Amino acid sequence: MTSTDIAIDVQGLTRRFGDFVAVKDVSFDVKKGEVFGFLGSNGAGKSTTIRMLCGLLRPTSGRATVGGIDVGRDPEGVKRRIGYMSQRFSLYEALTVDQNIAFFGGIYGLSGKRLAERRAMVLEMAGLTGRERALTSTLSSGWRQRLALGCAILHEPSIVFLDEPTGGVDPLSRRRFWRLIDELSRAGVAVLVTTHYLDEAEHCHRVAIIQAGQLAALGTVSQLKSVFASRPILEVRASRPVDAMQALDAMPEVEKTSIFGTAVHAVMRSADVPADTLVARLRAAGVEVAACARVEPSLEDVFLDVAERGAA
Amino acid sequence: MRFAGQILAVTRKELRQISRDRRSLLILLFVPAFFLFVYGYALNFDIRNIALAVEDDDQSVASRDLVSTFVRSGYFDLVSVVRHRDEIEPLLDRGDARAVLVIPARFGARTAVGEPVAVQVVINGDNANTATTVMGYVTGIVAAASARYEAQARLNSPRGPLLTLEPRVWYNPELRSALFLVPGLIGYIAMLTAVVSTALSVVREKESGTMEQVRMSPI
Repeated sequence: MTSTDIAIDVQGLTRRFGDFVAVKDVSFDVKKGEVFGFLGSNGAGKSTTIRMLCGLLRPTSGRATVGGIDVGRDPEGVKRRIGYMSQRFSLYEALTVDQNIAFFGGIYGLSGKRLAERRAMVLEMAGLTGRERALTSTLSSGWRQRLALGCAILHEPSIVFLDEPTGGVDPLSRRRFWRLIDELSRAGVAVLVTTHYLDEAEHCHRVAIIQAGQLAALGTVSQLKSVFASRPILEVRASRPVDAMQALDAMPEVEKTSIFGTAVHAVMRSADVPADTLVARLRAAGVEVAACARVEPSLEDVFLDVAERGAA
Repeated sequence: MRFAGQILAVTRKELRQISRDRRSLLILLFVPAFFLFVYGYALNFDIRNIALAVEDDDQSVASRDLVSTFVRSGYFDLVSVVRHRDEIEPLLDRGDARAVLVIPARFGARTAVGEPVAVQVVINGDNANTATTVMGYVTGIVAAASARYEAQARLNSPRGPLLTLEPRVWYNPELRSALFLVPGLIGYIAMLTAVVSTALSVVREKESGTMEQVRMSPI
């Protein structure tokens, strides 16, 4: 891999606010055309990192280059080359679709033929052709969000930052939105996305989990899941999941448990205990068990595992 | 060129937003107009209708003539007549009179023969500006009256005083302060509005969360 394939390069990035270290020695890189997932609990330092990468905050120490430009040295240059879209609806509600596009086109220096072309592209992408004159406040959140993405990539940036872009949006719209992200990625755009929806994060080529300001895990989704290679996860479906959880926690072979919907995921210390034995022991403890089977770890299992290890 | 384009984009956006936001529109159009109206009418440095009290110890034709000269000037309203010196202070304290004219006894007799007489005016100086103006009026009126009495005393000289002043004020003949205040006010209010509208739009951006997006853009 040559360095020209790298869109974002972060080395030892640190940011302090007084005594508080919001981001501590974070290093990673994002390649061109890669969808890079950035996960972490609230307050873990995701937004601070993104703000540094976008040139809004100066790093206390460490180095980050975005599109080959040092964010500490030329934040304005970085701003011109990136697209940014945040969790909050960031369009002007009192303006129509077309006026919003014209505004963002204007501030990114687009005009004439290029603006017309990009405008048509964004309208088509967002599925808003024919509704150019609608006030943005009348659009549903799914449309708005696609329009916001459209406005963020109006100037054809090669790097796009999406800060929890799918918050408060219905599943269908979320799916459509991720299709747009995939299209961007295929066009060679590097996408750095933060999200709380871990099912979405499975779409990412690579994922970083940040915990208390530090990088806790980094790799492809399957690499991250490999931490469970020697620790199988058994999914127990019981009529009273909380009782099942308590009974499981009492067993020495069980490392930890967590509730997944109506089921309980038990992380075993080793692969020695088969599911049937577990069921028999649970029933002996008076817990009604409907089903118990080994499941593939999801990203949520990984996330909880990392988060708990970080908290311990 | 790029910079000009950005300014144009922001200007257009602001105009469109304001035109659709009734409250901003009200603040930016109605409030300055209201201020201009209020200041234009209410802010007035002209001093008229000064409450005048008179202590006339002479009670002659000449003394009554001097009082009526004051009243006819248009600047003074005769509000009360005082009989004794001790009544002056409470009158000024209560604010019933802003100026008191004291005409000494034998005023008429002495002016008739061309003898100098001192006329006292007591002025409330709590507002120094007003007091100075009142003093100016009084000086003018007394000087004119003095010239008249002097001419009358010199019976052999029917032509009146040798020098008279005929002032003529151009461009604002009535010396209305509104005429010079209002143009200045327009500038001042425009300045104020510029600050208010900037503050409004920054707050609006913050409130709607679009500030973040704008900060991320190369403006």
